[in-house]
Amino acid sequence: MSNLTVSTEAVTQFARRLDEFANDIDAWVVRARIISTLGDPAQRHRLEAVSDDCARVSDHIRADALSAHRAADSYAANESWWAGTPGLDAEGLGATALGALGLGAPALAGAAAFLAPSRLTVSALRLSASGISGALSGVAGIAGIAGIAGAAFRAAGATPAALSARPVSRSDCLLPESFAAAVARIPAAAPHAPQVRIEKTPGAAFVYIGGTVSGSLLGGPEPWDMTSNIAAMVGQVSDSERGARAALSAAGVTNADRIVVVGHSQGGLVAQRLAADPQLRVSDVVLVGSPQTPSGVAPGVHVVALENRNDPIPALGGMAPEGRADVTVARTPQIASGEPLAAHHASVYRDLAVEADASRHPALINARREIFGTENAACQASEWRVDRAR
Amino acid sequence: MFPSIVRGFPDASWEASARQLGEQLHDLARCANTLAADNPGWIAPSQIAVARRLAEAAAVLQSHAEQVVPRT
Repeated sequence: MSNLTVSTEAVTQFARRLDEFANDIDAWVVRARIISTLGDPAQRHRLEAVSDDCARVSDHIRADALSAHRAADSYAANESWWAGTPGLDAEGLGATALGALGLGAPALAGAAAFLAPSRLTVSALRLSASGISGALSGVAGIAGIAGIAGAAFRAAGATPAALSARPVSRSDCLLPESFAAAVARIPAAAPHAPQVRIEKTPGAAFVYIGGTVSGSLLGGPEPWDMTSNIAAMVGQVSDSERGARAALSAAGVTNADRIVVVGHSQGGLVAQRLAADPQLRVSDVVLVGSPQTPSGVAPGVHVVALENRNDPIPALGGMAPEGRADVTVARTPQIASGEPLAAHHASVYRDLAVEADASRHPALINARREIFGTENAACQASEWRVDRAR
Repeated sequence: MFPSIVRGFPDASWEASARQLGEQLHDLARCANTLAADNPGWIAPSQIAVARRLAEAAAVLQSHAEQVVPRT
């Protein structure tokens, strides 16, 4: 990682070069298929096989180009926002607010990248990912960052914060029969509100996990905060993940249950962590405006990602590695507000979920059949509030 | 990036055409390696993933180039 400067223009140009390269391979494939007709049957068969392989290579390169274009667009949009926000440039982040708090610049800049990806903040995120994962480990590490600030983060040092998970409500329910119904059941991100909803049947559970509630790095009572975002992005156990696991356990979900996890934003990060755990029988994950993490999910878990193209948060996953979502449903909603994260709101994703339900694309038909195949099954719903103990 | 792809076709024999295809695959493999090296700064895991995928593409193209026109 010798160059920590991310230039939107450089990423855009790189995306174009990837596109051109894919075009070149496609042109070769076309020509090879024509020329193959000149050979004898054995020669023709061999050249056609090579052509098919090269066409697959081209598809992969083109997918990378598309990801690069999308991420560059998000960076560009947010650079405009940062440019109009006095005092929030990289120096401001590093020297003033962070300095006053005594926080490490990489940590808070990483948080800033999560809030508003841009050339400046994503550079810092790269640094933070390296710095945090390299210098610190586990929850203790993330806790240590906040502990430097001298705030009331109980886990300063090596002990994870104690969490309490309590049921806020219980009711009878029917399992969802559509993406729209599932997305609508994700708990809204609000202070003191439940962050997790669990719908349990004998042998199965739907788990809905909400997004970031607090931007705090100081480790207050809300576990769905920025420390959990950073922890999840660098592949560590976050307090929101621990909280979701506590709720699952308290709700009676066991490793004998087939689990579908639906998560918005940070909830999607937690969903991927749960889906990576071979001790849990997660069969499907629905990511709603969430970055796809490099660590991915366990083999056999199916992932459907709903992504608004003008939502910068999914782009934080960048060009995800092989094994990313089986199906990604994307669109660019019209947003009247100038707020940079307007397209990230769960309410905006409900429209995309409706489109996913209406799609006749075979991949989505299969996904709906797999995820919602037990439609209208009776279930017991419970909503859970998780807090860090004071 | 790859202008030779449209040159000299289709007035050649199978052997000549196949040889040219192989040479073009070698060129494409070199392009993949160049792109992998030029990959700009990015969110770290993604940057690594793309570089790896390009390197894999180069290996595939190189391997096929050897099949189409073996080097002696």
